[in-house]
Amino acid sequence: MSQALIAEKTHSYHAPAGSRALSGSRVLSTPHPAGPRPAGAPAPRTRTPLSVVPARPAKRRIPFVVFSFVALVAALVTVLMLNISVSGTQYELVQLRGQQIALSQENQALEQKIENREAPQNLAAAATELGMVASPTFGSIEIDSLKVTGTPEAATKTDGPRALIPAPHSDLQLDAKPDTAAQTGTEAPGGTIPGPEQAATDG
Amino acid sequence: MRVALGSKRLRLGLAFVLVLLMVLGVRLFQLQALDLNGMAQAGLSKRLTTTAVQPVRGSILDTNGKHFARSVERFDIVVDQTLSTGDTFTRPLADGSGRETIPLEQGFRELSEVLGIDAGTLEDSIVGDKIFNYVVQSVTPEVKNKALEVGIPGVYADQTSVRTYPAGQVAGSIVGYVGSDGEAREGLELALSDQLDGDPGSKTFEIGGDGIRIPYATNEDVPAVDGQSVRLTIDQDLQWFAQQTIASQVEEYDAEWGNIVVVEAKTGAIRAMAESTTPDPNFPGATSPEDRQPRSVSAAVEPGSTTKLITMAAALEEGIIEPTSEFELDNTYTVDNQTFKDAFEHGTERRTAAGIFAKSMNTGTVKIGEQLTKQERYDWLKKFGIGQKLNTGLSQESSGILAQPGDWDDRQQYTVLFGQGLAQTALHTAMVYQAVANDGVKLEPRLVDAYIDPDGTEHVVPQDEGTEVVSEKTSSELQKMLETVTVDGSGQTGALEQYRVGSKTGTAEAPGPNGGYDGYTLSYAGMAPIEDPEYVVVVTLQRPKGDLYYLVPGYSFQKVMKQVLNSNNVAPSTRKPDTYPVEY
Repeated sequence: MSQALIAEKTHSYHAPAGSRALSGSRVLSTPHPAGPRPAGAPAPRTRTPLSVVPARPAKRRIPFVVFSFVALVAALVTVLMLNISVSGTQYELVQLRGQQIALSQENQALEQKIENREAPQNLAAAATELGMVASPTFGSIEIDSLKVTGTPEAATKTDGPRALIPAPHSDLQLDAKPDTAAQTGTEAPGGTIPGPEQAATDG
Repeated sequence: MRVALGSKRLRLGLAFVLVLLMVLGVRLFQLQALDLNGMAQAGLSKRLTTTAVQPVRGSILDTNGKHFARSVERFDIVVDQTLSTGDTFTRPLADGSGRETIPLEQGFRELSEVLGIDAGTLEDSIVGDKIFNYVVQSVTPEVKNKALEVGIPGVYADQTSVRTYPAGQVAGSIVGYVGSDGEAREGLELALSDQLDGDPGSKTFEIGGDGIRIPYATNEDVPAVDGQSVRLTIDQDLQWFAQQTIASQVEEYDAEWGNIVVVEAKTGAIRAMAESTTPDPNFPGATSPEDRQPRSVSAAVEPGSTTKLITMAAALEEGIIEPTSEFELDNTYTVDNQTFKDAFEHGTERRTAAGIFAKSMNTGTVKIGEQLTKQERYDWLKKFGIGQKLNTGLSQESSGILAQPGDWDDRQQYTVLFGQGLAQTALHTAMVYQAVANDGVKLEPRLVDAYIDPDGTEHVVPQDEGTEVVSEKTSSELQKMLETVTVDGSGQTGALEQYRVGSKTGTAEAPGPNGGYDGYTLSYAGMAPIEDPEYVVVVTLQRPKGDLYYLVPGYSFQKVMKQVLNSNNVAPSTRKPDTYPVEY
């Protein structure tokens, strides 16, 4: 925001050395012709005499202070707001983290229930309960030659093999029948784990 | 605007203010920069919290990705008894409109309902003056939430991790278990701890008075590296089927124990390794330590006649016999003053080598095997892996016993030809048959298929290149001899309707605890479909009770072999069995 302007400083070697000290005044000088003048050029101009020009009155001094102050306040307010919002978000973060944990716990519990039902001995027990029996014979069709092999017979109803491998021990409440479990599953959009229906299984 | 600075009062005031400012400045410097009393440090350490972040232990999966073991989140319900004082307490109402006052007695009753512990026991554990006491350990998040909703002051929850085994006893002996202190104890859990464990991380941050983390403050986050998961070659469903089958036969015959091993012939992958008794790793204490062992790799027993396959392989490969070489055999055979007798009574019989193998005759086997030097007999047994490490990774593994030929006594040098006087596990036997099934190339058994990083990257354990034990020609002759056993010999009980089977039975005398022999080890080893064998199944029954005639391990072989071929869509055999003549 220098209010002094030194015009054509490079060419103004005629200006007094102290001209720079004349801050607040305009220093004018004419350029000094460089090199021999080409033929046919106009006659050399006479140098304009130097004179002190009063600086412009410092009109903007007060508005600038105001501006700085306003900028400062604005910056502070911005930082403050930012801080408040970050701190506020921190609380929200904690809440969301809690929600995430609850959901992943629920997910884990559900996965565990699936795995428990998938365990071969549990599957076999469920199949037997539904009256399913293993077929003693099988036939097969070879896709390429369309050949049928084997003489499969219809399975006959038996009591099924005695389960010799007990169901895995689990601390989850699994005794709910699959259909009721499915029901509670669909009824719980908010995500609460279905409550215990019966006592936990014990291995 | 222009004020005379020369005013004396003003100067004095200014000096005073400056002095005050200097005092403040010095104090500030002292407090903040020098921190002589360590206050800033004390404040920081009060806010600074470091928590360890425990890595999640990797899962153990079956070949199809079903879980054998996984770690889940559980909670210990604990209490600071100094906070649980008074006869009543308050808690927020369910609808959030204020608080209700509850008598402590009612709180105990509610908590007792949630935890399934009677109210008296709860009172004992909650009332007192201890700062820390367990109410109940490792409950599910669901139970924890309900317990905390009761709102008894001082009762809170600590997070822990618990290992669960969704398949329970299925493959329980292979999987092993992790103790309640989180330390792996047995099986693959122990053997693969390095891969499963992972590295713990830590979190350091500053925390405000309200327990909320201060943003922009110290924040160091070293993430925990979760453990790798391990995918096994075991097929969970087949493993269950095999366990159910062997458990039922062991129960029927009142045997000491039994096992079934299923190996994929072309890869060496162990598809099932079933024991008659396995622990539920969720509750290992319920099973006795001996019954927790994976006996398929830990129990070395004298194999009996299944070893005759090695004798025949050696004799064929060394050019001593052809499958159709002819032998005239009495019921007994004596060499070096050692007399050997066949298991069944017979007069003089004219048999081919294949016929000797099919009827499992000790006399004929010794007559063939005696033409091998002692060192050759030893070398051939060793080549087929007898007395060698299995390298499945299981810590309970046994290498079996194969004495040096120089240490063999007069009788043992011949008994090793038909599987007495040496010991091996069921998996050893399975790998012998795998070599013959796989055109003579013996592979290492594979139990671990791949390690899986937490991000899902799979590192498949490369398959063993294998070593050629016998030539392709010899192995195909041996396969034909094995089929002869099923069709015309001792292996008929294991025959399948739609697949051609090659098999060998084994009956060994089992050494008793006080020396001598008591009881038998029955086994049945076979492969199918014999035209291009895909699977090897070995059934072993230790000390079954009853007449040997009615003890048939072949039935279990039949069931399991049918199941494995069927469930893996192996096409039924189309051609008639191809066998050698057993007599001439």
